[in-house]
Amino acid sequence: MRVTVQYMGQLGHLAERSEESRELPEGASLLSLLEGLSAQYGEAFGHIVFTGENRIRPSMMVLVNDVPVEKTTPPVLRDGDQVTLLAAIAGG
Amino acid sequence: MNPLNAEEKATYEWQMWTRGFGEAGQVKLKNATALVSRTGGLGGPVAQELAAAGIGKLILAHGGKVKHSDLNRQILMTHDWLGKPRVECAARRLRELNPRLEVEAVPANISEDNVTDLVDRAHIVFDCAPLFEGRFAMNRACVAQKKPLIDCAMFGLEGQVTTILPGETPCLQCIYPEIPPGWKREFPVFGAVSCAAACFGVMEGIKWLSGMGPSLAGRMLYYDMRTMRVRTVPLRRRPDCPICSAA
Amino acid sequence: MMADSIQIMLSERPLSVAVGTTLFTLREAHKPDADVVVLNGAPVREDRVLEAGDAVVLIRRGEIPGRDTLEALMAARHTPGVHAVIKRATVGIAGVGGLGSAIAIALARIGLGKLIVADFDVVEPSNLNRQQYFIDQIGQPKVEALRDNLARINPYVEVETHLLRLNRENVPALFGGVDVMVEAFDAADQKAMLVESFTGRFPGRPIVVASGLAGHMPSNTIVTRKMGPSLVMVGDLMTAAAPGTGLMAPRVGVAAHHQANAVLRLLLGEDPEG
Repeated sequence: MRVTVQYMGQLGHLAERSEESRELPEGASLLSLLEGLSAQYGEAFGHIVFTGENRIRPSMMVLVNDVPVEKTTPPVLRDGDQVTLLAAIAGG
Repeated sequence: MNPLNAEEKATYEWQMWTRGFGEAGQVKLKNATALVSRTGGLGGPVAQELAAAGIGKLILAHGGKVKHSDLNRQILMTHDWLGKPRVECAARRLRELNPRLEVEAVPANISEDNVTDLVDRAHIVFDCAPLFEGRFAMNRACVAQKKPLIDCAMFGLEGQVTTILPGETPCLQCIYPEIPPGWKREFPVFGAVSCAAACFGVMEGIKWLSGMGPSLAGRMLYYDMRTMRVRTVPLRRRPDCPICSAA
Repeated sequence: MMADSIQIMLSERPLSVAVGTTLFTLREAHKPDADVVVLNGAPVREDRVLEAGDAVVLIRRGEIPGRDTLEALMAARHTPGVHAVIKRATVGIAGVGGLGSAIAIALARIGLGKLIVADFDVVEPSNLNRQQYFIDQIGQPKVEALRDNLARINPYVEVETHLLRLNRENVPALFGGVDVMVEAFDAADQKAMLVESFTGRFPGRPIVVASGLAGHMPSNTIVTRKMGPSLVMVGDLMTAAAPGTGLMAPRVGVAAHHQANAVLRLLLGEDPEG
């Protein structure tokens, strides 16, 4: 299946893109996607996405089809889903 | 409340035509004091638009001196003021724009040491600080004193704005329970991008002050000027937020 | 078992000895010419009374032992209990370049039960600045060269090799039986493919990946971190290798051994980050 991923904040800077379409195994979860992205874009990316306690970082907002997801119970993804990762920013 | 004088009526005529604002809204602006944390790429245009719109008093807090690397975005700083205090440069420019404006220039950044007093003297606070430590300090003080906080931030070609109304909306630490990792003092920035966040924030503040009501209470507006995508996302209060759960 | 005897391990095999038996009397009885006596993983010089559960290995320097005792002797310096656990374990390694070849050797040396390795590439001269191959192996498929090298180090490790390019379809088929998966690719998009296809199919099964190991920055910048529920990441919090920064044996080796040690800790049920 294919999902679209949009990046905001430093995640887009680290991934060097604003958006991309990605192929995922059928039934893959949001966690599996985030782990794959972290492996691909490196530790700094993974550090923004995950805490050391194996959790999605509370300060990062995750939207699936524009709806914020409950980060403690990350959903299974479906073909055509749009995932948006909003990393915290503070530029002034 | 002090009414408008003839010069003010002439100056603000066109904006008083705005539906829902009117002379009553202008009088409220005239009698309002706003605290703006830093007068750089974001706080500079915030202060400038508030001054132009006729706010009564601005308290500006910004340390340091004007550097070359400020001048791509810090619209209140000028080349001839290089090496001189930023906040004085900002105050000078704002008085040129609006001689009726009362400006208090504080030559220091917001910190735990000064935040309680500065927030106490303002009706509304515009958070334009570049580090989470300063933002969290303002958030704590605003929640404690029940003052609205317009939180504006940017990075690269992206920006975000939300309006925090203590007791009603999530506070900044509901959104960011911890200082997010990897944030650095230096970040990519275009003036037009920070200016956009400033303008969204200023209109939220003007709407709150004038009684029109803010639109981003409990919601975060995100824009990406690389893709020109704009979205607003609902925010949730954290029941266990150490800052606002008791508020 | 008699009440006046205790159970010990001699060269990884259980043995009953009389209470009060000492190390040196044990040596006298079993291998009088041994010049190294290893007790619970550490060589000792003083005689002492054996206690129940002690693990003793007797070694004669320079002697090449028979196949039946070699494996036990090779494990003599392990922390007690480690060998028994990892002997039953299977680890998959995707990519056997600089990271993968060094990880495989480290795991083979400590007596891992089974390694499943996959790589499509052959050994090239430019690999030899960091990868665990030899000049006479240039042109040989890496998985075959690695299998030969591992056999010379520890013939008791079962090595399953796959000379192919990994993809979303074959990853779950090849690595379904592993206890821990290791990512040792160099291409960033391949890393994501492996992680997504492995964790997508086997949620929660650990996978150890690496990034940020280029150049000769200080070794201490490299750390092991838990990321997601399956993901353990070794790296320096920097982005991947940039042009102008090479890949060289010392720092690649630091990262590889971070990965190998993370695998070992995961197999032993310990926190890889600590």
